[in-house]
Amino acid sequence: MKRTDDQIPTLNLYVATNRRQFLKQGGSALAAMSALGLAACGGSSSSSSGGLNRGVGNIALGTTSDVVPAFTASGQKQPFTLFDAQHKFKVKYVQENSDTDTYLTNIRTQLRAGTDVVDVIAGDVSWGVQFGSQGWLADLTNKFPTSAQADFLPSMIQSCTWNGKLYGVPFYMDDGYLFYRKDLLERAGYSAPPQTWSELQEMSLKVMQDQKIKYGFMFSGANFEGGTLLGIEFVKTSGGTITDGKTVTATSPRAIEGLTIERSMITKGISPEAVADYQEPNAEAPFIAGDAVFLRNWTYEFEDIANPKGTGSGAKIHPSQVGVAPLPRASTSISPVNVGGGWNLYINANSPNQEAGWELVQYMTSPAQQTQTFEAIQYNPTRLSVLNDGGLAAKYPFSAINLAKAEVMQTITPPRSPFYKDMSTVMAAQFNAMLRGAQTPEQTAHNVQSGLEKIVSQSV
Amino acid sequence: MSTAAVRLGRQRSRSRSERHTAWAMVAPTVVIVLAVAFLPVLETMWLSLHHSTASSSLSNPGGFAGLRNFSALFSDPVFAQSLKYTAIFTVVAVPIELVIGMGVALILHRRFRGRGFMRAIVLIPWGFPLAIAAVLARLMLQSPFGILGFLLQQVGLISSSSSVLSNNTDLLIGVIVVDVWTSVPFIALLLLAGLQTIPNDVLAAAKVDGATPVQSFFRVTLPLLKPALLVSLLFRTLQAWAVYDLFYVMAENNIKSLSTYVYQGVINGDVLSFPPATAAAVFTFATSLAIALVYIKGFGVRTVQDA
Amino acid sequence: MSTQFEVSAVRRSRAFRHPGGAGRIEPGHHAAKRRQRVDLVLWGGVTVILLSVVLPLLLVLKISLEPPSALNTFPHWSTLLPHSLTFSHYTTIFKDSQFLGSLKSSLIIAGATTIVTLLIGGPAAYALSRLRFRFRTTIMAGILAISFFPMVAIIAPMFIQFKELGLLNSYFAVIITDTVFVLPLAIWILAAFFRQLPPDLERAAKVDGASTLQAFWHVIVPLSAPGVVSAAILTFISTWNEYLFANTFLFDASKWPVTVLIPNFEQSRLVPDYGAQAAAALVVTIPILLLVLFFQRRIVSGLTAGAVVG
Repeated sequence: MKRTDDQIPTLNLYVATNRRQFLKQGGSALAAMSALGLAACGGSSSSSSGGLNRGVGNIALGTTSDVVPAFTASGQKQPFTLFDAQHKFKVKYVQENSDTDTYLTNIRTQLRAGTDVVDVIAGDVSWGVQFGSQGWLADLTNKFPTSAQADFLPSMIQSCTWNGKLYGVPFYMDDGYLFYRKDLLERAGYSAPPQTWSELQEMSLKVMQDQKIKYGFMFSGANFEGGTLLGIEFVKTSGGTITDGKTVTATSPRAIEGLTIERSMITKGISPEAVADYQEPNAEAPFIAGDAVFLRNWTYEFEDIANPKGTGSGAKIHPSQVGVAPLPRASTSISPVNVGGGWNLYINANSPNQEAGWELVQYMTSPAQQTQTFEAIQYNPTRLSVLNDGGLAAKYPFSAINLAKAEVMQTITPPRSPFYKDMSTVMAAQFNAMLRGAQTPEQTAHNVQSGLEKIVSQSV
Repeated sequence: MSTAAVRLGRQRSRSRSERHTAWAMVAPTVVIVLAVAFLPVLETMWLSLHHSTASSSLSNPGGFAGLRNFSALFSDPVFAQSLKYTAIFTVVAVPIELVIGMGVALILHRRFRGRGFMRAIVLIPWGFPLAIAAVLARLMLQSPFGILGFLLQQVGLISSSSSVLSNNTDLLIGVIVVDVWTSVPFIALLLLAGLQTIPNDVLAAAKVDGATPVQSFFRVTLPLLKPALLVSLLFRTLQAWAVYDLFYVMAENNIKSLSTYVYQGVINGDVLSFPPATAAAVFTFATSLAIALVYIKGFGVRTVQDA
Repeated sequence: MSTQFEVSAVRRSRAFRHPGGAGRIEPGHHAAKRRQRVDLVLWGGVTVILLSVVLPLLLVLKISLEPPSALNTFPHWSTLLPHSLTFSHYTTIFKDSQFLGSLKSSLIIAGATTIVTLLIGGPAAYALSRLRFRFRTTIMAGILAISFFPMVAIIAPMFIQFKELGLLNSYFAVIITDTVFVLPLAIWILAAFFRQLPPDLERAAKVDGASTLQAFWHVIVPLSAPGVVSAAILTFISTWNEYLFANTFLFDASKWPVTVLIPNFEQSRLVPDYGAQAAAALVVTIPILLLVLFFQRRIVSGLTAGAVVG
């Protein structure tokens, strides 16, 4: 299907801003994106050779979403403006309605069926390899040469690369942080956040006992992909690894130590048994309500803490009571890491609007739009030039950008494998079984090892 | 031709046209049933013998695998767990439902003021969508703010830091409770219908013979209820064995049933998860059929009416 | 005992019912005492049934009316009663285009399935119950056997076929699969009702020159209206409640019926929006509950007639 000049291509864009809880962030994502559009600034490498020069008013964003209230709250009514006058797209917004796991299921079914319901996908960092290896994503290798890649975080570029081909462009970062109650720690005589997991446990117990706080450390340990990432994270912060997608090293002493630390959060009474069923909202809510000392959560937590009104009416703590730090480690000799990643922009291989899609991707990942994205929703840019822009860090002292630079902590993306979903299913189930007390950390490590080895051996 | 012969000829042609009409009337049903139920079951078996994925086609289902998908299935610990949980669920939930359903039926069989109202009330859980009941159960058991979770903590059924959803045994119990809530009405209705066919004279005669109500229940009512009991047992057992909604929504991934195992593999669709899922689908089908046969042949449940 | 046994259960009961029940026969002091005890059991049982049906629903109703602040705090005994009432969750969902869309999807799927099922199942039930032809019993048994099929037994090949035909993510995929799995129930109910009609009805019509089809349409169907209503209601309810096929074949949230949408109904950023979820659950269930309460007799007679096919 070739478009003629007077046809405005309709781009169907899947979008979400939050790695885990897609819908929850949908509203602010759209708000941010409409802000991007309104900004109408330069910096985009527009290829306006098409001739048509339509005004802003002619660019419409159709939506099937249920997040219209979020828009109207931000003063925006339909249609939403995504592009400036130089960009000639009518963007139909296709809304997904659940967490990343559901989003993944739906988008994968759709791509497998070969539909072109969506042209551009804003999706999880782990999808580039999973979908690209299946041939479901447009190959961007020629459009996005190494020289253009240089400004992006190498790990994020890696996440889009499979067999030497590039299937996406990094959109924004989403990392894991330790949020803590500054006031409670100070009252207990601690002047700094914990550096190690054992310090965190010690501080938790003291604060819980002395100040009658219900919970120590809240995290999302449920049997879902978020649980996979957290399990890997405990292993990584203990200096171990589980898999790089090809070899499996889950039974190393350091890996087992990491899992032991995760389990000990429950056995030592620092986290409630119920964390085994917690996804992010369950973990976050008690912290916001003032009932927990520590919280491990994603970037959006900055926003939730800074704007407690936006988080519903359960908030009982003031932003000034909260501090944020890199995640603790098993020992201070290990440098701070977290396991996360963020989102990339992908183009459906079956989309008839390849060129228009590419233009949209370029626009959204331009330095100016990355700055805009950060200013609007505080998600870290994937471009090093924007990330290292000292101005942003100074302007937003309580934001992820202050911690996300490589010299402060490193964000590790999930294992790269066409079978990451299968791997994650195994890991999530095993980590979760451990949190439920059904098996020891050692058994868990061995089950993960054999489960992943089976996948690796079958998939080559 | 005699009038008798004419009449006979007319009857014959009428019955022939009637036969044609009859076939025309059942044809759409037969076609759709063959195309969307019987054929797909055979296709599932066909797929289960191949290294297929959700991207395969039926004409090109991937390399021939023999029974390898089945050996992979039976060595998969996740499948073993799904089988275990499904079996426990079926064996525990169905008898409980039967006993409670019997109690409800006996009560509703009595004459009392408001009986019609009660019969309507009892139907409510039956009409409740199972997936929605599961959502609501999750919502109320949710930690830390779920109201049912709180009540269970207060009465000491679960520890104060725990949640029904974070412990597999508690979760299975929770799933069974929701299933009982939604399934008792069906059984109660069937048994009630059965009870109503028992002539009161029979019970009265038993009473005259000096039988206590308990005796007459076990010696008169129960034997006469056997057909209704077996029919409801058959259908509840098969429904429980194929349970999907409750496990998928309420237990999410934490405990699996046979059906959620199949679903996950099919929807995941890759070469690692799709083939064992087709094998598991065949397994679920075969075991369901076996259960039905045991009831029909073994216990003599009569399902097809004699012509 | 055969199907006929279930079918006639409700009707027959009237003939056999003694005025006054079994307790009447035994005279004297002991009987009175026993009746008292029995009454206690009876009313105790009635109370337990009533509470176990209604209490969970009241809790959900309470959640749907609570302000979010009350839902996002630790519960307390006092939270068993609402703190203050708000209808904000209901306004939230009724302003939510996706929720409204899912109501529409459910209506389309359940409505279309009901119509298709009656249109093809009605004639089949008639032929199977009142006409003589070869393989009648075989066909009857084959249709009945579907109610033994686990639904997951067909999802893998159906997924592939729908994909090849471009029917994935279409209402058609869900309607056709739903239809096959409710057909046995519908046919059984209808056949049971058709069978009750006097055998000479069509003969009379045919004497007047009507064909078999005409006799079916003009004589049998009107006379079996209660059975048709029963079949329609049961088909509608079971399709409205269907989850597996919709969850498998529909991947576009705007096409999801209520059973698929509501488990994914998480809106607020802080916590899953319990209030809206509860409100949505009640809203989508109320039509079903109304059907159940209004058509109780029809449902019961349908269920007991169709008991054999569950």
